[in-house]
Amino acid sequence: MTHPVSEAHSLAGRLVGFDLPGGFDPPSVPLSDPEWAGFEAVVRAQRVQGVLAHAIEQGRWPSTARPAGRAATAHREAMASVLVLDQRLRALGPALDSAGIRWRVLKGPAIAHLDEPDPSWRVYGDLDLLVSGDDIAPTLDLLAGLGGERRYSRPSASFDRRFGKGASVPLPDGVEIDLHRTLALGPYGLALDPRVLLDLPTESFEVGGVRIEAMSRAGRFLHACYHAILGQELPRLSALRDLALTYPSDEDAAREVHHLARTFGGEAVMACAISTAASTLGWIPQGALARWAQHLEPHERDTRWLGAYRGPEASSRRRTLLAAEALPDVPSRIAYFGAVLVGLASDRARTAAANSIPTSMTPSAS
Amino acid sequence: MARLAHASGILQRRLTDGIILLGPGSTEPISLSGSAVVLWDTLDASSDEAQLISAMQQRFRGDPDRIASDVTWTLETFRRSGLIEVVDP
Repeated sequence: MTHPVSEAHSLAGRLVGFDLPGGFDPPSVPLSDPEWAGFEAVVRAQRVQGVLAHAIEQGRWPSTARPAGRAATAHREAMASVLVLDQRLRALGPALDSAGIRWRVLKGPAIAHLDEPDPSWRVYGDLDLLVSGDDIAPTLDLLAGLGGERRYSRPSASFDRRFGKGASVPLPDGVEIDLHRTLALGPYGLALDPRVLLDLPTESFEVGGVRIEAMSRAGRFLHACYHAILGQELPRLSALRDLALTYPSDEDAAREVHHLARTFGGEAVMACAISTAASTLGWIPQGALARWAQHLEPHERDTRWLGAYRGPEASSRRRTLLAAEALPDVPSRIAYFGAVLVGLASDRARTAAANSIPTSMTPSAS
Repeated sequence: MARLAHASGILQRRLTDGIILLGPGSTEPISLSGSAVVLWDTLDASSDEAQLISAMQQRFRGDPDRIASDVTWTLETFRRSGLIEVVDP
């Protein structure tokens, strides 16, 4: 289903191109009060408070005093939350290392420290960590030791290890840790070999004196493409900005990224992501990769797969069914559907158990 | 006099109107603006309180005694928030 985009969302798209080639199309006069209210809500939801605050401060986004003050306050509040996340990341890193878990930080913290003009430009609301399938269980155990409890039902250890995208674990202090085994749910997530992700070169940065490893720029770019196109129907503006920031800087880097996308079976995802970011942000990507993306005609398989993530046929059920097409052989497909059925049966049993509790025994709201 | 320095492991972000800091072991970020930012930026391992007061008195106009008490009060806030530590001379 195509989601209509509000005027405020379109305006936020014009903001998010700030500091990108060709992007950034500010209004000629300050917004009216009602326009600001809608715009601020979108900025907050899209996690681009940092971009707005800096654009106003640099005199590049017209604003009167009150909205400028609110933008600075919103940025300060967002950064307060970010520091709490960084504090958790600083503690988690050495704990994961001590447990012998190989991991990379994804998205927000990586983009903030490695790709934005200054870390204060990037807002994030949780911590995303890439680990291997074999390390999903030990990482969940480590997080359970911190009081974390997996958000959604656990299909099976085998599903986690071989087929799952990952797990979400909220901690008692409100910090949410998203574990990733691969880059997406469904067929595109299973089409790539996740071991390649962890074997990619890394780039590192410091958080409170602790060294944190992220994927290389090529890995960050591809992940941003996957997240923008396969994550939700309407791509988050911060994800589109991430991919524009990590877009290959020269033709050698472009060839590397293209090769990686081809290896992952994700060329159509990358092409769609580049086109979407360009049209939403007004960003003008340069070079052969952009020209290739503009002219790519998706294969029938990609049309079918992308349709499971975006458009009127998109659904979790469709992604689950099509995921089997990405598996290399019949035994894998049997194992996959077996694990899915085990998960469904487990869900049903949990639901039945919950429904069988007499109402006099259900906990009352506190 | 004891020399003061930023505590190790401080987390921070630059804001458009100041900075925001989170000390190790603290759960409450603290935002600084105006002269507090100048004091924070001036503070390094070679500074003691008297030197910081002198630097701020040279930097800002106003009653020197008032500036001195403001610096002392701000440094105490930094101390309580775990943002600064005493460095061995």
